[in-house]
Amino acid sequence: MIEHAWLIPLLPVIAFGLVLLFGRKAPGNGAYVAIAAICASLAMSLAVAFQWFLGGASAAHNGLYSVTIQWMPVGSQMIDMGFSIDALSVVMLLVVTIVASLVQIYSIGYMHGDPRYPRYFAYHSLFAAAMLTLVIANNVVLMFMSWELVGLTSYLLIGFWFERPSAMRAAKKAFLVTRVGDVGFLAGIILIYLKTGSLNLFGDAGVFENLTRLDVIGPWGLPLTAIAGLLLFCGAVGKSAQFPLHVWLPDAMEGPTPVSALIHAATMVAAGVYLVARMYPVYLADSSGMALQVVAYVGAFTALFAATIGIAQNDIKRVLAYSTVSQLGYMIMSLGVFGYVAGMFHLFTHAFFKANLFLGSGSVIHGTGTQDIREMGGLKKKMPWTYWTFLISTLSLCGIPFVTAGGWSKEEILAVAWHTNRVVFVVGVLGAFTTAFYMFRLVYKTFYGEPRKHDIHAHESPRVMLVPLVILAFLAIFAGYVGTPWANVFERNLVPVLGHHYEQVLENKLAGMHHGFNLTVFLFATGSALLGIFMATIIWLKPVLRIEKLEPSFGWLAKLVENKYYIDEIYQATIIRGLMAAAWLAFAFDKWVIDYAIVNGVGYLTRLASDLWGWFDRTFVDGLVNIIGWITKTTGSALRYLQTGVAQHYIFLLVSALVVISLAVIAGHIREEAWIPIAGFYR
Amino acid sequence: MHIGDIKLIFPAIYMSAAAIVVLILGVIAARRPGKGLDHWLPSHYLAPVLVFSGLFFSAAALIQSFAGMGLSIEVPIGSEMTRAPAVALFVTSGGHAQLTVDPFAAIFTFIAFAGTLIVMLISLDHFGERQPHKAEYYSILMFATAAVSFAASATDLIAIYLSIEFLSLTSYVLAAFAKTDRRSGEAGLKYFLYGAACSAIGLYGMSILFGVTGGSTALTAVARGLEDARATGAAWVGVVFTLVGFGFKLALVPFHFWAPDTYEGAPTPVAAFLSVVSKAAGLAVMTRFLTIVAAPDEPVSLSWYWILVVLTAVSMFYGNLVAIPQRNIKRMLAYSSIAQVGYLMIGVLTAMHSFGGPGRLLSGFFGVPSAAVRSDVANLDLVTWDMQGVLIYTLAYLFMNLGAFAVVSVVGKKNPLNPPLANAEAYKGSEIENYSGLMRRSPFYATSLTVFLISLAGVPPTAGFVGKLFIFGGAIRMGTSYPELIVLAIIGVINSVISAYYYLNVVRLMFFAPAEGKSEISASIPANTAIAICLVTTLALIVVVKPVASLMSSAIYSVVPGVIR
Amino acid sequence: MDPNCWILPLITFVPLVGALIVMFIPKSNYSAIKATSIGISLIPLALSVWVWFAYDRSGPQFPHGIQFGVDAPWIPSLGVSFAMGADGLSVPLIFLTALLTTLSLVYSLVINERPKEYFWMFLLLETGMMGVFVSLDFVLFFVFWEVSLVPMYFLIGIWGGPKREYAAIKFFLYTMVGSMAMLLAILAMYFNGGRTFNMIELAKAGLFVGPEYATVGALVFWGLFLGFAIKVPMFPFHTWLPDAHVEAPTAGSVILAGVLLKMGTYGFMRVLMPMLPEQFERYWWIIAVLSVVAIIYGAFVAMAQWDFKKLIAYSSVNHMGYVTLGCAVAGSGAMASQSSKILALNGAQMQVFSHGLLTGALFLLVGVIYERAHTRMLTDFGGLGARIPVYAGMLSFCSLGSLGLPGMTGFIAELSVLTGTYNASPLLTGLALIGVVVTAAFMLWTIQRVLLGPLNPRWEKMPDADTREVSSVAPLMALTLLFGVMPMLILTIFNGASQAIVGLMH
Repeated sequence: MIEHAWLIPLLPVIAFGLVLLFGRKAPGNGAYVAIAAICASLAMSLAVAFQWFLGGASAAHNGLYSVTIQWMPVGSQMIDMGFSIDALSVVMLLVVTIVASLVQIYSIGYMHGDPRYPRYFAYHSLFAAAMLTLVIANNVVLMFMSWELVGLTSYLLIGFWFERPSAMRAAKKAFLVTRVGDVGFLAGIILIYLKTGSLNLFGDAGVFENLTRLDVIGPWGLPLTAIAGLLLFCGAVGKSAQFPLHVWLPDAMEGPTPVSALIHAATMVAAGVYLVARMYPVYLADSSGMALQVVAYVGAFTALFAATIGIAQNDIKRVLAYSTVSQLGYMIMSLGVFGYVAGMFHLFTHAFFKANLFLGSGSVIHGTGTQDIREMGGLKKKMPWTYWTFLISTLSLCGIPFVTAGGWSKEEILAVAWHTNRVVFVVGVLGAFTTAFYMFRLVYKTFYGEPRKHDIHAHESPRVMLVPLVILAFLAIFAGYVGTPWANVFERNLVPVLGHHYEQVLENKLAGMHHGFNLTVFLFATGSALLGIFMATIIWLKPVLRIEKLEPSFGWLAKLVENKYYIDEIYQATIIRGLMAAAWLAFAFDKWVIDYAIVNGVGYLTRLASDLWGWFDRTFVDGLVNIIGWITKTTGSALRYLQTGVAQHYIFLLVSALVVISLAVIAGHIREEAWIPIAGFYR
Repeated sequence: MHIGDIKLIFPAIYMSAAAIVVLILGVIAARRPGKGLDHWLPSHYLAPVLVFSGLFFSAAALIQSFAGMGLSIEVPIGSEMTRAPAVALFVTSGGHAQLTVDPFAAIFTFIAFAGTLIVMLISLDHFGERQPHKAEYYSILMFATAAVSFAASATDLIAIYLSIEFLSLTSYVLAAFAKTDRRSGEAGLKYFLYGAACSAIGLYGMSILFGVTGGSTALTAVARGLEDARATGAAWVGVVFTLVGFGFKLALVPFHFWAPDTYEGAPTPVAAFLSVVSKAAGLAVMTRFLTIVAAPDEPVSLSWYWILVVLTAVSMFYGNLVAIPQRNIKRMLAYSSIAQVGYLMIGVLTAMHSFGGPGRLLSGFFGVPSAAVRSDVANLDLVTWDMQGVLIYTLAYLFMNLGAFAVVSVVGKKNPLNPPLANAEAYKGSEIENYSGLMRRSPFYATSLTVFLISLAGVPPTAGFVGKLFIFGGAIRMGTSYPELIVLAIIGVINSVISAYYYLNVVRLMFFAPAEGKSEISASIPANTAIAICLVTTLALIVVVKPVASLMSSAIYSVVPGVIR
Repeated sequence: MDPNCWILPLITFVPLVGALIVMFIPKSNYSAIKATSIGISLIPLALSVWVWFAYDRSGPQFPHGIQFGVDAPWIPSLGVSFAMGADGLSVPLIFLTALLTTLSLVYSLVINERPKEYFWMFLLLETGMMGVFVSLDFVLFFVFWEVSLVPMYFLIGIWGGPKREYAAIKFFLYTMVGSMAMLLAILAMYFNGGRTFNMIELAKAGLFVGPEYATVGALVFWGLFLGFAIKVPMFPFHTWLPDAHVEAPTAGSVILAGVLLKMGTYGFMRVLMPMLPEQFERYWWIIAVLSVVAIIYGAFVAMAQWDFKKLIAYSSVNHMGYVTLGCAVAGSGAMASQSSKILALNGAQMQVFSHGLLTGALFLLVGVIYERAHTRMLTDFGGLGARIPVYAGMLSFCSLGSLGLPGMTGFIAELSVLTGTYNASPLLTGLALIGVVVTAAFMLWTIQRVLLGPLNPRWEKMPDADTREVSSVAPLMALTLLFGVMPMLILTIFNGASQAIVGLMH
């Protein structure tokens, strides 16, 4: 099966083409084609996974199975590209295909009756294809290509309801903001290629084998590995919505909710994390450790920062969006503190519970027709399936230990942070607290209490939407058992991906770390989560603590958080305005200086010269003619006719020209002549 | 002089004789209209037929002149050094010839004949059948052509003066030929008065040269004498005054004043004749005079040379810039031809450097002691550039400018049925605005005129481009020794762009603007033939440039007597 | 002589013969005129496909040799010959020219104003363009260079927009300034390079090497540079382009952007780099800086446009900046490694091809919408995505390709150029990357303004793209995708040429 792994992304591509061209005529308006394709990919991914982990293929292929084809010649060299299978890509294949197939099935119900129904599934197929290519690519350029393609499908799906100005603006924003990061990614690729001479990741001539060539001091006294790592990280910052490029993700919620679940929660946004993980040897090779520190702090800051914003949002999807940003921060942070496995593990579990949360919120929206949690309430009874699955995933997100998948992964992150970086650890704990706090605020406001708006007639969603919820809820509980501290299958399989050398480096970094259950960390993690739940309960479920009382002293803070720290406004005022101003300035310069003043100016001067000469021709000639005519007249000469006068004048001119020329000649000649006797005299 | 050599000037003699025949037959035919000659061959067709056959004689003479050099047309120039004799006629004492029929002269003769034939074809259409004094008109045209032929082969001051003066006198008459048109008379008179003054000055210059160089009129003798008399200012005044006479024929600034008024006023075919055929005579004489007599010393420090350089540049700028605001197309073409002379003068100056100079009066044919052959003169491949430029550009200019005038004549004539001559020049017909939408009225004329104008601007694949390629190429080659030629080439290039502006202005009106009148423009077969000939040659020159260029490159060795090849 | 020496003259002159045939069709017989023209344009297209496949990718490259070569004496006394040939530089351009001409003619089926003149001028234009790409003699090259100028002047002037006359004369005079400078430089090269106009000989001759040639070498270099840079057009010689593009008829814009601009960059690669390597190495940074300015500046100016067509025109300035940047880097001497230079030049060539496809398609698409709406103001549109989905799909595809989305040719090109540049000057790459973002910004903004948002009620009844329009755009899109995904198919052609050219530089 492994040798046919290239079919996994190919099937959705075919589905994309078919649905796009013949969607309206295809079964299920194209949905079945797309779902069939992604389910086939899922089946194949499962087969690959079984073969890899259980069938011993991993050992047979030495942990890496690679296939390359010639792609691009450069001089006498040839750049290859292709795909490779290792534990990391298998994990990602599973995540993507599972979530994608479930979300597509869910979408049958959610998107029912949409006028562009087939196109929706076509885009989904394209997304799946791109994402699957991304995770099995063995070449940075192929990664980048699928990376951008993923961004494109994200753009298309965010702007799926492009008649809404907010949706179209969000789509554009998403594309542009991530592209800013991608430019860094691209620069990183270029740097890596130029220094290691390869775009392929693996193999003897590959990037990872030649990283020592990159380990030289570059600008600002940083090793080039650090710079390359930071540039690659720019891509991750954009795609995984890390501060300061996080602004697009909340807006991306303008897209259909299943899209948010798949792309903007479970898979695409995690691609940034995957990128850092995939390129982890680059970071490990960085002798200064600078790159990973930046990764850690950016992640940590984002985790807390986004979580605080999540508290003050009233749009159910926006809360989840900030939660996603925050959780992505978690993963990034984990990678930054050498929690390579922990970060990927969190990616794995997060994909399921966050997808479930989004699909649940979609179910809520589907059932109520609103996204504003202030208008909801009391949905627990009306939408029991939605409620229970949502609650399970919320608990998983909060990291309730032992019974949820999120508990395992979060603890693992905090355990690594405890060992390597206490500052990050503290931030992580604070983040865990905040997460639990805002998530339960969301749950209480949505599902508890009485309905706040009475024209909403909530109803449970159709079965085609509930089945995915249930499956994901199941995964939100049980997916974590592959990575318990006692039997960490995840770690055992993932660490060798780094290759022998970097495996050692990572182990050295984590030397002395207590592998296994860490009670201190457990207490911090669980405690903070429970405290968050408790605080949420006393504020929103049983209002012991009246939030209104805090208003006078913390009003400004609430306002600041509610307005997302005014980041969007700041960008609008500086970057967007700056760009537009630059555009107008450049255009004005082009129009008035280059074109008008210089180009047309030359033309104008030529015209002017021609007019002047023409004027000379007319005036000088005619003027003299008139004078001569006047003289002729007054002297009573016979030469009275105009034409005669004209000719006379011409001759007059001729003679004057001749005189001038002769004088010039003679003058020049005399000057020469004058020297001859003198020269002779001295000779 | 061997009596057999007379066949070399046979074309000119033939032309003169034919002119007399036309005149006499014309008189006879006029007495008995509709009978006899006029019956079976309308007399106004007679002259073109005669000129057409004359074309063959001139071609034959061309071949003869090559044969005289031991060359044949097919064979490109070899590398061995053989003497290059031309045929000298009317040799005076001391071995100096008054007329030298060499390939250079033969080519100019051919050009003149071809040009005259086209002018005649235009005239047939322009004046129509009922043209009065047609015999006189055509015979004068033929006399003028003969004069050009003589001028091209003249290597003696007297011969030069006589042929130029003959040409001028006939031209004055032609310019004033539409005698019922006030403007035509005015044109003729202006031309005459100005020309008379110029030729007087020129003659004065020649007499000074005669005086200071020891009493000979032959160019070679003058050249030798001038070497000795170099120190005297009078010699240089003589050179300059002589150049004024030639400059007048060329309409080089500042001796151009007659041109716009005369072109505008004269009947269009006559203007065409003046702008091309008559100018060719001036060019031939100028080239000969400069290369033989007046080639400057080295290093170049002579003020008249610099004046010539400046006048060349000024001619280009002046002609092109003043052409821009013109509203009358004939006036525009007049100014354009002033600029075209500027381009040609670049070629002449290049040729002068390449062949001329005191050290280059070589070989014993004229009894002048031979001197060292300059090494780069021996480098034949390179020298080909320098004179080919003048010759090929002249050839190209002939067809493109005549073509343009032919179209102007066809479009500008008011109506073929109107009484001829009385209103020969429909004044408005030559206004540029009259060309609006010509493409829709007569695509053939519009397309042809476009090709001619584009060619005048020097855009490939037209003949004008070929000419400019050679002219600028030669200038750049010589520019390594004479940087001013590079400057001139750059000025020429800038002017090509300027000129494109006003040429394209006409094209713009023809193609882009709506048609003013709906009537289709019609012309008789001769005029259409003339336009077609010009069109084909203008477009085809680039294809057949190979034989033409080798012909020209053979010719150049003869321009300076005794240059050894 | 090459056994296939007949092919290039045939490709070049078949359209000319076609133009003559069209001239003799009665001018009222529209359908015969159109059918004949398109039929004739298919011949060079078929032949160019044949050339594409018959071309030996590992075969000789200019100036070490040439394929399909023909060399017949023309003006032997001057060393002018009728020399034609193809190598990796020209084969794709021959194909591009033939393809765009045919597609433009298909698109031009709607032309009912003076169609006879239109179609024969178009065929004449094809001869000129083809000739430029196959000529290996400077005189021949120059002739074709100028021949392509004249029909375009008429195409703009007769069938253009309201300011067509101004645009046409500006186009003509501006480019003529360049070509005249080029002519002088060519002549100077002739007299300093063994008295030949044969490009192969001149490239082999190693001209103007050494300090004693510093001045004349520089003059020749800048003369040629001016000629090519105006054509490209490089900043700051670009202002003829927006006017010409905006006023030209749709098919004219396609050819202008798709082929005519390429003549300039072709000149860089065919003439400036192989023949004046020393000068190029001395001045490469000027070209590089101007290119980067063009990339950023073009993008910004494009962003400020409200006229759809003008926006695409300025985006051409931006895109062509990559081409010249790639050329500059490839000629940067010791600044960059050999493989970086080859990469940059590959990228430049790829961008040439890619820009031809994508911008050609974009101009066609602007034409499609202009025909329906009779306006090009971006503010007048909005929400068309729902109304005309096929059009929307094509426009989005081409815009995304134009902004360098991976999977399409533009990305390969930009990546290669930027990578090559990074080796020579990371700063320039960094600056050019700004252009990448701004390009994305204005392209997406354009899509948004035209296709997205609420539908402007004025276009309630706008019909979707018809078969003619789809068939003229679809091949371009298909090729963009094909070569974007499988760059091997075309890059092996470019690569040979790049290796040969870079091999001539130090």
